[in-house]
Amino acid sequence: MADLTSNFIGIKSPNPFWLASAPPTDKEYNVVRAFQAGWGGVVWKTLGSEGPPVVNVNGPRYGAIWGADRRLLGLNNIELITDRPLEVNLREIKTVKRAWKDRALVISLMVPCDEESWKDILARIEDTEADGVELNFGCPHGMAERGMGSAVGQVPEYIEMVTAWVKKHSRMPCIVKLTPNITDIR
Amino acid sequence: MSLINTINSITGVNLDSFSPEPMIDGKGTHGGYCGPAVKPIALNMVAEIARGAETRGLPISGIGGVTTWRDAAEFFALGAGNVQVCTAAMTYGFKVVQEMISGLSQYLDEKDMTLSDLVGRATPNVTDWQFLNLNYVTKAHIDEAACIKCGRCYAACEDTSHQAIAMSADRVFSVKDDECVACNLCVNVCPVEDCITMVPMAKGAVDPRTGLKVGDYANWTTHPNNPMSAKAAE
Ligand SMILES: Cc1cc2nc3c(=O)[nH]c(=O)nc-3n(C[C@H](O)[C@H](O)[C@H](O)COP(=O)(O)O)c2cc1C
Ligand SMILES: Cc1cc2nc3c(=O)[nH]c(=O)nc-3n(C[C@H](O)[C@H](O)[C@H](O)COP(=O)(O)O)c2cc1C
Ligand code: SF4
Ligand code: SF4
Repeated sequence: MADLTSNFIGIKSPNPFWLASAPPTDKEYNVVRAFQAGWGGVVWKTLGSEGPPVVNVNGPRYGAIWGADRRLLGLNNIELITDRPLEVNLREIKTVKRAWKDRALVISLMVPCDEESWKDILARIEDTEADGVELNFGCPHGMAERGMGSAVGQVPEYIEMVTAWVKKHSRMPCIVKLTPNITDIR
Repeated sequence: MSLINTINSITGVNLDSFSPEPMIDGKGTHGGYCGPAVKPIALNMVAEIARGAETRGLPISGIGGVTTWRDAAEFFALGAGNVQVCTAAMTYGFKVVQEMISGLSQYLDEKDMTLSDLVGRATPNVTDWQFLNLNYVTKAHIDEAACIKCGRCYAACEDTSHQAIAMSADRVFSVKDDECVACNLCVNVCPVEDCITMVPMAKGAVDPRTGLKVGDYANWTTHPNNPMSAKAAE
């Protein structure tokens, strides 16, 4: 068996397969079962700032495209970032990380585009002992009116500015998650 | 960095209620598209970053449609250091990772490579169109034994390519080398995998379509039809 151990920007995991930030990584129950199944790491479902969490629609949130044999080819969603309270997520992250030290646990973040908001959340993140943060600049319902997600992700200067705040207020490895809804990814 | 996140999309329109799907009380909104369908877009973006003058060498976490170990290996080969998965786990459950692990491991063992040998292995082979070898000449070839005589290749080539497939009265399909431009359309529409293959011509052989000898590597930048290359030669 080939050695699959992986080191991504200093974050170690037993294999290079991580779960992306989404429903599979939304809570302790899921992440623990994912680790039991063998996933090398997870990026926790995107967290927002302190305060009342966002609410999702109560009707269907997924649409799909199928192949001829009804194999799922494309999935479409109108889900937002986590709709669970920040404290609950942070507590669960800390518990999971303590129990699964060999797995990668990265926290996805999307908070308003001002330095204070990032400074505040980063301080709370450090306390969880997670391995790093991923900056979500790609949520299609990025609450453009509040200057988050893909509303920011389409402007390279904003990404640069936010990333600089993260480097300034945290020692954690930082992954910038890019939105494809642009004309030139470079 | 990691990429890609989801792509703005509408997956369908309900033609009875006239609302986009998924429908919420008669209305819909664009959603984020992901899963196997977005993999080609994600692979291209990973490759562009891996070979971009300013972005080359930045660590990349590849995301978008990874369902099997093979998908993951493709992301690694184009320069991703790891992959992230969402839709495959949502479709098949957490245990899909076990096949990814065993498949990748077996592949690396067979190739006698390490994971880091694989990362970026295909990046240098991603180039711009004008550097492709115009003296790489291939011809379609139909394996008569595998052919199920459906006629799709004939319809495709006859109507929308170069009229290079012959159909006999008893439905034997064969390629006319003097017409075939090697577009690959017949390969892509044939329902039988590997029934039609593209066979490269040997160097020095004469292409019956153009009457020209297959020569050494030459690309568009020096081609006589290219106005830019003619200017450079003056
Ligand atoms: C239902 C759903 C919710 C998602 N939520 C988030 C999110 O909160 N934050 C984020 O960065 N990406 C989110 N994503 C995007 C995924 O992390 C991933 O980038 C995308 O699905 C492409 O990967 P895939 O083709 O393997 O699904 C979500 C995807 C889905 C399907
Ligand atoms: C092989 C090929 C060549 C094409 N060449 C052109 C072109 O010269 N000019 C153009 O405007 N669109 C070109 N297109 C785009 C098509 O006109 C069309 O916009 C696209 O294929 C989407 O439609 P479809 O999904 O029905 O194929 C080309 C498409 C293909 C597949
Ligand atoms: S490769 Fe293109 S031109 Fe050649 S036979 Fe097939 S469809 Fe026709
Ligand atoms: S598409 Fe394939 S199977 Fe069908 S006739 Fe052509 S070669 Fe035969």
